[in-house]
Amino acid sequence: MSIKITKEIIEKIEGEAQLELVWGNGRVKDSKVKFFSYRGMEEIIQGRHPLDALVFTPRVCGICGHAQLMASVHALEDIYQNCGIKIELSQKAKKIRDLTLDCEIIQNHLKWYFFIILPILYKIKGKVFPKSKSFKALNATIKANKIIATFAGQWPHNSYMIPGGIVCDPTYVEIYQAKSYIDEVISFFEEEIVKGDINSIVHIKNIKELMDFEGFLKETVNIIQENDLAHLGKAHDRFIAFGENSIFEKGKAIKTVAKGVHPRYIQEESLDFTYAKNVTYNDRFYEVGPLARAMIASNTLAKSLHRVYKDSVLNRIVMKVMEIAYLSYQVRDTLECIDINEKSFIKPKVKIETLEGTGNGFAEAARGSLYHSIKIKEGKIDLYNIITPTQWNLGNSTKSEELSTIQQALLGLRNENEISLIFRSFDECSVCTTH
Amino acid sequence: MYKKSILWIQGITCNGNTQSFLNFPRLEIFTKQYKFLYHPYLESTLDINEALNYKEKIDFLIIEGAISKEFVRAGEIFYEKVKLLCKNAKYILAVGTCATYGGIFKEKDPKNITGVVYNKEESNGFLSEFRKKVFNLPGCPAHPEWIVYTIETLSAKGKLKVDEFSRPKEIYGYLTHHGCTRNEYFEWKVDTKNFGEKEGCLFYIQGCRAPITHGSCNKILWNEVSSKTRSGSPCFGCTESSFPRKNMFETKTFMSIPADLPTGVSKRAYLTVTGIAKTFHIKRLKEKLI
Amino acid sequence: MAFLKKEEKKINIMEASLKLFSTKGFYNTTIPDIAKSIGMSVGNMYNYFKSKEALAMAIMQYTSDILGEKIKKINKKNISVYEKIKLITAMYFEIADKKPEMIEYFLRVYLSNRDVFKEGCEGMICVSAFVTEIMIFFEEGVRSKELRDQDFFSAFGLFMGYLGGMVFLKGENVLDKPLDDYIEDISKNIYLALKA
Repeated sequence: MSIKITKEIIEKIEGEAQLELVWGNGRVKDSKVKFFSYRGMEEIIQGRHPLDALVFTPRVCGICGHAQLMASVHALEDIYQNCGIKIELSQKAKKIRDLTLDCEIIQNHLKWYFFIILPILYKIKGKVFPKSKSFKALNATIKANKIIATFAGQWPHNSYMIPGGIVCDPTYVEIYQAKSYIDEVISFFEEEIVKGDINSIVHIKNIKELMDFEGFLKETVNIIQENDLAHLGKAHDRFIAFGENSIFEKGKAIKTVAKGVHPRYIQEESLDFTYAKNVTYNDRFYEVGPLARAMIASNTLAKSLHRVYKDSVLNRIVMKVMEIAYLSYQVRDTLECIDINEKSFIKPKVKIETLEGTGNGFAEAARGSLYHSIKIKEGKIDLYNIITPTQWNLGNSTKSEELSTIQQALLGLRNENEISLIFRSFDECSVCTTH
Repeated sequence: MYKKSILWIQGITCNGNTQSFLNFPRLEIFTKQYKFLYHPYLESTLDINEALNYKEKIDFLIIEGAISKEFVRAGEIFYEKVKLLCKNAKYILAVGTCATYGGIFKEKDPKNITGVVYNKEESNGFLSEFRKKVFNLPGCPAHPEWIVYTIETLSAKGKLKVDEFSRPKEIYGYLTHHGCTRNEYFEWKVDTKNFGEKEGCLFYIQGCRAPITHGSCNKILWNEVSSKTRSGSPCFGCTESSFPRKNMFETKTFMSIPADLPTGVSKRAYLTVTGIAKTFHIKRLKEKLI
Repeated sequence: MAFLKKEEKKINIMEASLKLFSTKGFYNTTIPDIAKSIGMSVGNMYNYFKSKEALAMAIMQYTSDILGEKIKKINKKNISVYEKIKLITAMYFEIADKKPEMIEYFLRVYLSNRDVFKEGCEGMICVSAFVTEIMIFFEEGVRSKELRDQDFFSAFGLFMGYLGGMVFLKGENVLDKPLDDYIEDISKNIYLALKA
């Protein structure tokens, strides 16, 4: 049995990581993911005014800063609740917060699909992915980001969510503008990814129906199946999600059975060779992200794919792409039912710096569950902890009984193409993982 | 046709400037006009390690992120590599507040993390030896139009007017305050009592730094549609060396008078004009807009 | 030169008006009364002030400018806040003693006849010079951490209400000591109330 070890730098993941693979008999037997440095956001925030967290935490990451903002504001609002002070949020504030986060997720998935996944798939079939298509997708992301900027002022890096609501007070002008932009995003999806009508697309129940529509998604499935990749990349078939919004539910699903979750069972573990910490739930590794969310919400298509492919790279990629459709559809829906006459912001009865206590905040970021926990003492942040989605997916197991999600997914892979595809199907973020 | 080369490299960063750059509406044509030796997201000629070890001349070296002597990027000591890249670069753009002054990530270890040329407002950043060819584009993040403007102007003219922090005057000569849709409330000192309202100025109570911050945010809109202050958020002063500040959602006042006054305005002048304006009650400005 | 003469003439008119308002009362004093007291024709008077209301407002600005200038000098001194309070109090009482018509005008005409001043003297525009200097005094006191941070009007009301109140009592001949004798106690009270 010939054993060799390779080390490879994976780049353009909001930074880089080093993937160390142990090979035996031409297949991956073990792996380690190493991140090179960290910036110390949790230490930087310590000692600051609680509301300043809303400015700092988006700077954990350039592509998912909006999710960081959402988790932060939830954590701050949780402190109020834990101190017995009711925080009232209008439906309008909740809906606008949700839809701008949905847009950040949409633009993330589009970038991932057109700049990373499709180029890898085309390479697998010996072709070069046309750059013009990538830029067409980028234009769609620009539209999604315009929606965010319409309400939040700008993307990236806004702080428009504060305890009690949002700082903007839009008119119907902003609503109809946002609606035109999401229509353009939907149009792009219908023209390029799944060629059809969005109203039919979101109701696709199984792979057979999916393949009735032309477009990049059909091509994706074809390439994966034709190159024997469809059953690769399976992890533990365990999914978890903590954030909730109009289409996401919180919970965990082991294979297909969904159950409740509580943050007290989340454990973090530091390692000596990398700046990323492991995260487990009740001592087990889980997968977070679009596939996890779909499984927990009992999405028909995800469950249908799961029957044949379990948590393989095929299911993972298809559900992430489909999440673009589900979210765009939802954003359009939400815009139609916002009542701008409601208040944007309902001032909390006391200032947050007068409170002492802890709070937990969750959000579903593009890549999966994001968790912030905060402790305030004497009007300042005493402790701040952030656990990011990539930490869940990219652990390095120290237990003999179980590998981490990514380690399990990489097991048995044979070549560069397979490793590249499976690794990037998890859509890692280097800056988030190490923060 | 010779295409000028761009090598975009990152120190201690969040990738905000990279993502902001991807919002540039004319990006496709821009990538055809320049040669991207390396970019943290877009397709590039080199991979990260090749980029760090690049020995040839570079037209535009873009540095995003703060600088420390220990920071490791892709397994290499960033500081040693970036120094050589700086030597070989014709122009260096320090993109973002971290690259300009140290920014948010400097706060982790203030003595050992700086911007390229500046270290807060001191000009002893770890790469300040290259100051003559550095153009600073602070902002958290920087606006893509500011970046492309700088590259295009330098390409065409070889130089551009800068202020005392080497920031292009055509961008940073403006204040973020110029063009805010709430200007009338500022003029008549009508503060906004709460967040989430269309009316009122955020300078007096809600911590807005726009009258004290250099930038074009209300002239060249963000994502072509808006800005922080237009959407009811205070400006946090992210283009200045004092960013990140303390208590950013609140204006520091001394007996109801803002501690920091609009740039260049004397206290007496300010109070004579606005102290009195505060005692007026212009009915229209106290009412809802809609 | 002509401009300076015009300004001097205006000041003469205003000073004369102040004296007459103080002895005869605001409503009892007419423009002809004022013109006669300085030997000017009534027609000429109207070249300087279009109406009695315009004159009233100009006087308010004039006295405010004078008081403002004096407070500005005190503000610029490099002394403690307590010393400044003493000097401002002393200055205010000195004017009450030497030019009583000025403070009386403020208390008995400006404050008591709001209808005269309602158009053209909105808010505190006519007393702007004076109010600006008080604002600067407070702002610098809080910035140097000698005074407690609070709403401007709370502090203003305490300081000016107190001083005005004392002068009013003097005008009513209720006080048994000269105003100067009260400077020490009053300054202390103000300082203790406002200090950090």
